[in-house]
Amino acid sequence: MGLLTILKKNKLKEKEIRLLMLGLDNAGKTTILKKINGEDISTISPTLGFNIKTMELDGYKLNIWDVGGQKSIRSYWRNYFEQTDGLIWVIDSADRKDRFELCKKELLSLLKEERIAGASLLIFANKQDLPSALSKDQIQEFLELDTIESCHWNIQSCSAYTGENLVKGMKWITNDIRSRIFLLD
Amino acid sequence: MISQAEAGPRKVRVAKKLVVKDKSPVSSTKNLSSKFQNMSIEDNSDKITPEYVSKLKAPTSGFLCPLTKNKYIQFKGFKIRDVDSGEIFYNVSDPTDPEPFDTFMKGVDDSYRTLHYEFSKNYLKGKHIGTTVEFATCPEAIPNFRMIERHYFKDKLIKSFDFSFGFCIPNSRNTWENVYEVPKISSSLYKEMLQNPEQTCSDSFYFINDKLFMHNKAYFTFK
Ligand SMILES: Nc1nc2c(ncn2[C@@H]2O[C@H](COP(=O)(O)OP(=O)(O)O)[C@@H](O)[C@H]2O)c(=O)[nH]1
Ligand SMILES: [Mg+2]
Repeated sequence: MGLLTILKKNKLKEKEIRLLMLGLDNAGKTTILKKINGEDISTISPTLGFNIKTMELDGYKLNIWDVGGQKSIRSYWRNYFEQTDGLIWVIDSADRKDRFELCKKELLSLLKEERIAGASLLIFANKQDLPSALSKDQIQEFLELDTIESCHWNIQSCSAYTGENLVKGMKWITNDIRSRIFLLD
Repeated sequence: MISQAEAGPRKVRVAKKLVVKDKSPVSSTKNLSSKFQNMSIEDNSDKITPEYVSKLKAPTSGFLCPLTKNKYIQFKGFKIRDVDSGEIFYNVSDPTDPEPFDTFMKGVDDSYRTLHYEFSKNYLKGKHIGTTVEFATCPEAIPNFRMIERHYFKDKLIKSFDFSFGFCIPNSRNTWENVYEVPKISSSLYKEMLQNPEQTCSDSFYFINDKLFMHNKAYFTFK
């Protein structure tokens, strides 16, 4: 615990929060990132690497990392775990059944990772504008989120197209991180 | 490259499909790390550290490393926008695949890394500016990529950025948007910057494992 406290304290001094946004390809990660930044979301190509946004928020520097979710890239995710304060897991709520299974498997294996185990977890049940989208309650049950004990988590239904609940989710995760960092102090 | 895209005709290359090869990230990072450790001290640029450039108080008189040292990164796009108003001050992007990394620096001169920008004067009045860079990376994983940028007006430091990208996936294409609050400038400084083209300038230094491999300069004019 000692080392962790020191690390967190240094972070507080630097006033920097690092969020890692992951999820299967096509979930809407890049669209969400652009939408919260007021950018055009009509032309988004698949992410073959990362997209990072650095911004200032209430005196904090917020770095959001959106790393590509294609199968060939997923093995590189672990290179981005270090120093992560919050994990945003994005789901295409209207995805196929087999992709939901895969999504659950990938999320569960992430949560076993020591380096992100303590991070706050926000789940965005995205694409709620689509009629076939599963509700956030259905997703919460399918992913068995209630069994998660290793970290603080929260699920938000959202749509990157309409912008619904994006800010709400971001507020939850940044507040949760900040209160955790302050608690350690 | 960006400077050429802006200037007009550029070498046209056939676009190949960008494929992300399924390489073991660990081994390829090791390869590049050891390459950097074994790099012979044949030019002074090996002694240029992040700490050194972070202390610079004025633009450098020349470039601190040879052009040919960059075999790792090719810039593919650059955009500057006013986040509040949506105004776009600058936007170039090159969707084609990168050229071969071992040879793309052959035969180019310093004009390749000396950029001249002309922006609307609104740029100086913006509250939040977002600058986006897009870059393609070499076939090897890059272990620890870091950028330090120093901006000056008339040899006086006005702002600086230090950002660690960290790990870059082999053959990847990446973007970074930095949204920052523009320091409020006095109306006299505003006038001065308008009246003195190219006196606002920047040095950008790029490191892998704290070793300098690229140095670019930019000069700004406001209209
Ligand atoms: N209907 C709908 N489509 C979305 C939404 N968010 C993203 N998309 C679309 O889903 C596709 C994948 O989005 P992208 O952001 O590239 O996903 P990523 O691979 O997770 O980064 C794109 O065609 C987006 O336009 C949403 O909220 N609703
Ligand atoms: Mg993406």
